[in-house]
Amino acid sequence: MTVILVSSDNQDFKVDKEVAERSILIKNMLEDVGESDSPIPLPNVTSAVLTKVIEYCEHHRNDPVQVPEETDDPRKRSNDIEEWDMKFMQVDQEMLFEIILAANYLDIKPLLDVGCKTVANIIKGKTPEEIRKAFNIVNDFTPEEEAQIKKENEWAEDR
Amino acid sequence: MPHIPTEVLLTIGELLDGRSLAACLQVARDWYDALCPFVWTTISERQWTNYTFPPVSWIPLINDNGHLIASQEQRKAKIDWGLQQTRYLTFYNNNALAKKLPWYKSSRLPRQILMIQLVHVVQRTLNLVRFSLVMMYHGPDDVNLATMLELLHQKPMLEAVEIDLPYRTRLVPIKHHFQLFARLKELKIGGDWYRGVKTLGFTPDNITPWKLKHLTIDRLDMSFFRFCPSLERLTFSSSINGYRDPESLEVREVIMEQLRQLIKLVTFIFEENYHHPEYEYKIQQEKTGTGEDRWALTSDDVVRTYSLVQLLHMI
Repeated sequence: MTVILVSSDNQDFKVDKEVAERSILIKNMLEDVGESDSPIPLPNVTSAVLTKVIEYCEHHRNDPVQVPEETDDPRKRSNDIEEWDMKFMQVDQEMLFEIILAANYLDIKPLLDVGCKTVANIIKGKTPEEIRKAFNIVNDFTPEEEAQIKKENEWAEDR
Repeated sequence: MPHIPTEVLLTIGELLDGRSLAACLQVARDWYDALCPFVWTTISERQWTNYTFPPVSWIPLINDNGHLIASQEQRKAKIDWGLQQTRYLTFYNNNALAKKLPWYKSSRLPRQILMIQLVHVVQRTLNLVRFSLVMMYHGPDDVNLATMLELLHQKPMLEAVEIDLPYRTRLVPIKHHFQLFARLKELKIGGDWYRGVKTLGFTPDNITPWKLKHLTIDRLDMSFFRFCPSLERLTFSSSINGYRDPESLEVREVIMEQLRQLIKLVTFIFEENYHHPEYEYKIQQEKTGTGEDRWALTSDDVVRTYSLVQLLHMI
C-alpha cells in the first residue's frame, strides 16, 4: 500500500505506507483517518527536504523501532553515527537544519537524533563566533549582554 | 536560518560537553534562553567534584580525562569569581523540566543539585539581576526553600523574579515577600505555594505600591496587579504546578474594577497554554480618555464573549 505526501510547494510524493510510517506524525494521521487514499499535506516541508527525508526513511525502512536506553549517557554517543547516515548528512548547513526541523515536525526520532549529533559534532571545539558563522546565526545580544555572558563563561576558554 | 525550536536545541545541547555548552550560551538570545534552564540540570557526575557543591552549573572542575584541573584553592577562587559575575540564575528541578518538556524523559535527566547547594549558590551570587525558581513535587526541604526566598531580599541588583512552586506547608506567608516584589520591575508568580492567602479580602493599608512594569500571574482571584499602579503589561500564563480551584466568581466584579484602575496598562496577554474555562470572561475593548485601546473585563451581556484563545489571536 502506498500513500501520497504533498510538500509545501505542492509536489506529490508516492511512498510505501511502511516507509511513510517511519514518521510518527504520519503514522498517527493514518491511524486517525483509517483506510483512505487522500493525499497527506505537509505544509512545513519543502519538496527538496521531503526528498531527503524519504531517502532516509527508505534506507531505514526495516530498522526496529527505537527503544531509548535509560541509562545511556548521551554525551558518550555523540560521535556514534552510522556510515550511511554520516554520508547522508553531508549537506550544506541550511539543509542540515531543514532536515532536523522536518524530522522534529514529522516526529522521526532517529533522524532527529542523527541530525542533532551532526550539529553537535560541528559545534564541538568552536567559539561562539565560529558557531554563528557555521550556522549563519545572527548575534542578537546587545554589546553589554554579550560582554556579560562572555564574562560568565570565560572559565571555558582557559584550562 | 530558520528558527530552531527549543526541543531541538536541547537535543543538541545534551550531546555537548560543558565547554561547548558554554560557547552555545553565547551564540544568540534564543540559544541562551533555551539552554539556560537545561544547563542547570545537566550536571553529570563525570564533570563535577563530589566534595564541593556545583557552583555555577557549567563550571567544570574536572577535565574530560577525569583529572582535577586545579587545586582546591584555585577551584574555590574560580567558583567565587564565577558566581560574582553571574547575573542570571534559572533553576528548574527535574520534575518541572520534565513537565515543561513532556517529550523529554525524566529518567534521562541527571541527578540534580540539592536545595541546600542551590542556597549556597544564591548566597554567593552578589550581583543577581534575574532569578527563576521553578519546581514540581519538591522533596520535604521547606527550610532551605524558605531560606532561598529570604536570600532574594538581600540582592540589591535584583530586577526580575519568577517563582513557580507547589503548595508548601512551611513557607512564610507570601505577604512577607511583598516588600521584595515592590522593588522589582518584573515578576512572574505561579503555583500553589501561596495558597491560603485571600488577597481580595485583605485591605492593602500598609502595602508599598509595587513598581512592577510586567506581571505574569496564573490566576485572577489573587489580583496582585492591584498593588501595581505603574503596570504596563499583564500576562496570564499557566503555572507548571497548577493551582487549586479559584475563589467564587462573585469576586469578578471586584477584579474588573481593579483591572480598570490600571491606567498605564497597554498590553494584556493570555498565553496559549492558559485555557482554564472558569476564566472565560467577557472581554471588551474600551476607549479610555487618553484615546488608547485597552482590554477590560465586563459583565455586560451585550458584549461579545471571546474565549481566551480567540482573545490571544486578537491582541
